[in-house]
Amino acid sequence: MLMREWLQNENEPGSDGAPAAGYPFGFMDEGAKKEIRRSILKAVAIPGYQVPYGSREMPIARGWGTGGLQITLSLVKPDDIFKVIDQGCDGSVNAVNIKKFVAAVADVAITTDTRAATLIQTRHRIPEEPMTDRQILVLQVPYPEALREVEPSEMETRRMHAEADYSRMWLFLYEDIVKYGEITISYRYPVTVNGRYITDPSPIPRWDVPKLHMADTLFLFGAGREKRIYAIPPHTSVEPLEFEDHKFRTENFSGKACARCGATDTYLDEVIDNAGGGRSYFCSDSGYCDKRSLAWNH
Amino acid sequence: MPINQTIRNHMIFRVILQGVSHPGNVLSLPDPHEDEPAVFAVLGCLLDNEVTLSVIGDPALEAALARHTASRTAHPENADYIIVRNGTTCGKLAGFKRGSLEYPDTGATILYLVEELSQATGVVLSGPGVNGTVSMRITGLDPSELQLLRQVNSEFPLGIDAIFLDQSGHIACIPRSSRIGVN
Repeated sequence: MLMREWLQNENEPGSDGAPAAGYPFGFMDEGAKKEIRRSILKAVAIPGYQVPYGSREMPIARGWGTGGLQITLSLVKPDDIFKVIDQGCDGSVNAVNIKKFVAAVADVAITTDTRAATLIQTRHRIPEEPMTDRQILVLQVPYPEALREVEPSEMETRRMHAEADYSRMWLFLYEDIVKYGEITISYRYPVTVNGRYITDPSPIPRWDVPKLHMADTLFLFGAGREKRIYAIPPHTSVEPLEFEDHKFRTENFSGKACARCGATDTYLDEVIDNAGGGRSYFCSDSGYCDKRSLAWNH
Repeated sequence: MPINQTIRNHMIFRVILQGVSHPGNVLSLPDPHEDEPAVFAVLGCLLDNEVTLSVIGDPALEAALARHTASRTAHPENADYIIVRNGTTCGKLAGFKRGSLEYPDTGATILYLVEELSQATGVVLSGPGVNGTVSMRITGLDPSELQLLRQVNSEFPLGIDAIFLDQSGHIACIPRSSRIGVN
């Protein structure tokens, strides 16, 4: 039964508790959703701090976006307009699966248009179009701990966060510069949130890191396998780690344009033609590229 | 659980989330039920038997909320959620849980039931979630309470997150990350 029918029939006897395809609204049980909601509220109140939570089994494998999915399911509303992107693409198998699943258990409308969406779940990209304060971006996170690169122990990284003892992270970056002449982290670039916590922005490219700074939108991060939820609220300072003489810089696409829509101001994927060996570039954000291509052709 | 109640919980949580991520913004809860006061609706989408609550100075409300949410009651000093009816904790706020440096998320959440919330001159907030500054008037709250809240939240990330709920179903939040000023 569709959600619209549930809402219409809500006052009729016998309609209570009628699930979609055998599942309750939002798939998860109420206890799970309540715990995730409490964790989300604490995460927003302590920007950048990873709140531990009891990650539930989902009908997709851990590591395929269960953290993001659990956040989505605990806060989705039937009147939401939902978008899912996987590495910028609306049409990848993973994105389509998550989209279909949430539509089935929460009866939300689906879109590929960033501006039209009220709730966006994403893996490894932030949409090119700026988002508003009425929208929420849910990011799927494989490794929530930014310090894991320099310290394998969870006890120890927790102490380091507690004491804001980030010297080893800075040393790691310094050694990178000594060895290679620059910081070689390409994605998962560590950031300082609200001047306090060093945080992993999930594997977004450097290109997307400045979009987190003083944004209008709430960013929620869910790591299902690692059982952590954290958040970056709107209008919060997010500073990539950098040195005075080695500033943070984003990927450089100067002189390149999307072969499909002609965009020169987007994050581009490099595609190599197997036959001829030629290189071409395409927008990573397929929804934005579609919109531009349509405008071009009409 | 009835399905329309489940959906209501989702809608109410979204308003709370919007409030916490935009401190000082006075928001309306969706369609209040006459037979369900707003405090039941707000706590109903968050609390279960894994957390504890305490109501300051109203044992009847405490019992009713514990029954409604299936959560356990506790002494205010140990409670995860504290509900305040008369606009003051009489200084007890300083003794509530503020979390530890390792686990700051174990700090308490305090819910003040106040007379009226409005977007007028009053308490001035800045910090994460606020574009510049925002002003909110809280009628029915002891002014010394905000001073105390500022004190207990002066050692970020330790602190207590405050939610305000008024009699006509408006909600506003002051999470521990907010800087509190008064004019």
